[in-house]
Amino acid sequence: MRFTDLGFIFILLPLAAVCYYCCPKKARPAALFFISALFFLLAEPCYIWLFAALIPDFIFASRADRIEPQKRILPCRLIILKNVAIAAVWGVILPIVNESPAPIGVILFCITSIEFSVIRSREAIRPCGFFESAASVTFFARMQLGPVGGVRKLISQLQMASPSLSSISRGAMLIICGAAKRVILAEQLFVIFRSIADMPTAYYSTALGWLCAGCGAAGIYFTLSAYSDIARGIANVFSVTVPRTVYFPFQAKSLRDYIYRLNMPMEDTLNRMLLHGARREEGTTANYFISSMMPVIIAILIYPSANSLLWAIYLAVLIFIDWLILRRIPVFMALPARIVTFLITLPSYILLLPTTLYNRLYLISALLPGEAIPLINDDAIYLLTTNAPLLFVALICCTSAIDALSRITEKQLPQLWWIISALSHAVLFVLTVSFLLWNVR
Amino acid sequence: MSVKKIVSFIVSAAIVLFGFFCVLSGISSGEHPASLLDIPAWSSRLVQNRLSQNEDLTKIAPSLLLAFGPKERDGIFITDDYLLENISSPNEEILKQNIEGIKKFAEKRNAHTAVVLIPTACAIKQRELPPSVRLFNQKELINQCYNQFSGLASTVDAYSQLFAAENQYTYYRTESLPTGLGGYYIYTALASRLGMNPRSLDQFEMQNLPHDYYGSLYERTNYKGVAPDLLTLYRFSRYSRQYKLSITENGEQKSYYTLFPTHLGELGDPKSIIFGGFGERTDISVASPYEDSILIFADETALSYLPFLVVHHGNITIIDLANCTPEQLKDINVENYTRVLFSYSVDNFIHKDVCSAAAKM
Repeated sequence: MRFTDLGFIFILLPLAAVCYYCCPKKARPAALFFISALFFLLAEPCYIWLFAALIPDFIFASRADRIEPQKRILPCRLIILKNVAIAAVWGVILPIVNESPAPIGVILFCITSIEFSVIRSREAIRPCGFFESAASVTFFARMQLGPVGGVRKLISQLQMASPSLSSISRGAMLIICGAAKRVILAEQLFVIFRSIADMPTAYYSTALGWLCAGCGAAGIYFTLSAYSDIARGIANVFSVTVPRTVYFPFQAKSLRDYIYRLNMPMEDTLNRMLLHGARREEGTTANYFISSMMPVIIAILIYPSANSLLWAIYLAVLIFIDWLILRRIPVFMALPARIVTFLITLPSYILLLPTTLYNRLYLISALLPGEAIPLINDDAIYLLTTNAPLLFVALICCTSAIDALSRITEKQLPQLWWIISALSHAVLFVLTVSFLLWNVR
Repeated sequence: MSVKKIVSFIVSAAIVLFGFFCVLSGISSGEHPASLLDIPAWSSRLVQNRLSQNEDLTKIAPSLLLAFGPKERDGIFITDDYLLENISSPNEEILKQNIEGIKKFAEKRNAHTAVVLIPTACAIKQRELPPSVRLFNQKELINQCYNQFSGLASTVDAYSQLFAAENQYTYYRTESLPTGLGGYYIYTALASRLGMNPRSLDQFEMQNLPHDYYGSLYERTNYKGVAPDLLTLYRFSRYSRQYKLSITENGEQKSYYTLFPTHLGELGDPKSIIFGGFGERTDISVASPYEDSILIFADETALSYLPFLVVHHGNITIIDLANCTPEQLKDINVENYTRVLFSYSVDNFIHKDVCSAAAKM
């Protein structure tokens, strides 16, 4: 089961929401936990034990305030060790060895549970029951590339959650938007990406190189953004909120900012855990170290493979260069900084191309026009002309223009916003369903 | 009531009611999940069945994608009428092995040997694609291969015959293989090189099978905009003929007294009606005035022209060298045949080891 399955969108999610709201208010955290467990079972039936392995963490979390601070350290360390081991073995090593995707949600749940155990042992959160802990950590909305951490806020929302029709419909719109990004934009961009991967080096040109990098970057962005929207949408359906995972990385002003925008909750969580909540903006060496780890974690979350790790290393090296040199250069204008950041990071996506390392490096070298490589050729023209509308829409959606316009309209003309939003999401919904029907095999 | 509340109510109610309606209609028609783990697939099936009834909805995605020209999806071009798979550059090692296999066979055996390389749909239907699409040049490859057989084997130019009939239904829309009509054009090319007078098409009775046929490319692209293929059987109708068809597949032999065992269509793959499918070895005996026999080393493309070739022969043996066992190879006595034909699609010939085993015969 995936969040973009037709059955999930139309039947399972509404049914789960109805069951949730039918429960008495006090029983809702327990209901949410069992719903999450059920969805995990349906998504990864072979790995339900990974979900069950989190239960000791919740027992510790719910009883931590009854244990003396000194005696909390050992169980907390054991929990960290257990979750790191689970995430490393089932989230990283086995997928790389077997060349298969990791069970969904495993790394996210493990990191969230570690963070939760750490803040509970530090008493940085007020006491909460077993089901409140369990429901917040395992909330199924974050299962597929959703936001990590943020348990503290989620618990307080669960304790006060009351149904809101506008929140539910806003959630439905976000789910539609997320599904559209995944099936209309990301999948079609990956089709172009894969078709370039199949080409021999003789077909390469500068235009093709940039097209490949652009499609890879936008494909990854729309995948992350899609699951972020879906997670926020599901959370809204259950009348809670979770943070955005990704925020227009191609508009970042610096390399660190770029990495941060790819998965904001993850970096915030690592900062909270490792640096005791030190501000990310301080730009200390420790902050840079966490930023350099981020691409590796993102690569593992998306799809652990040699290619994705190479992509992560490229970005980690850029962060190192940023720490060493670039951060000392004063930025006078935001736009050139944004453009330079975008252009420096774009070639990294060529490293994700499912072809030989030689071909990938050759295509990166083709990004700069030279005598041996044509500026543009028939293959690039074919892909550019036949995919022009898709590329145009992708380009617009990669920027914050629509988002900003939507926020301004909602603030200034809320009635109009609801009407336009409902109509545009209805159109988007029809398009998404058509693409989903096409993709059903 | 504010606009916000009205919109919220409509959106929420529409989704819940539609899901409820799908479940109700599914359960009332007897569709239940087989187990707890089947629930996601079952629920998706219910929604899909309900939504698929609206044909306009299913056509939006492909028509949007094809609005600016044919699209390539995993190496397959989706056009308005055809699914065309572009073939990649040859595997030089395998191509060399295949060529050597035929050359050594022709050098060792004193049989009248012919070779035909059959282009795939992508080469013949290339006008369905924009000019900027870079296709593998099958014509050039065929010529290069034929040059290597010079003095050893006759070569058959099926490409020109098929290309001359490019506007006809010579290739399946959902597969890269030639249709029965395409097979007829290959047969006309073969006949002139094998010393036979090709029969005109009107001497064959055409029978269109009622089953819609969807080839492998349909499954791979899942593009529903393309029309299903039509399977046509060509029966020689001018004179009466009696046939015996024996197919050995996975070591098991089956015999039929017809070239087209139509009952096989009811059992699964409608294409298996044509000569009972393609096995490791197929023997066809024909009660006719013709006593010539032909040994054909081939792949599945041979099934397209066999209905026409059987008219000129008393015995035909088709061998799938890629899959037959050494024992099956030993059983073949090349001297028993008047002529030998190597017939492969360009795609198989340059990517699969289809006939290197011929060198050992």
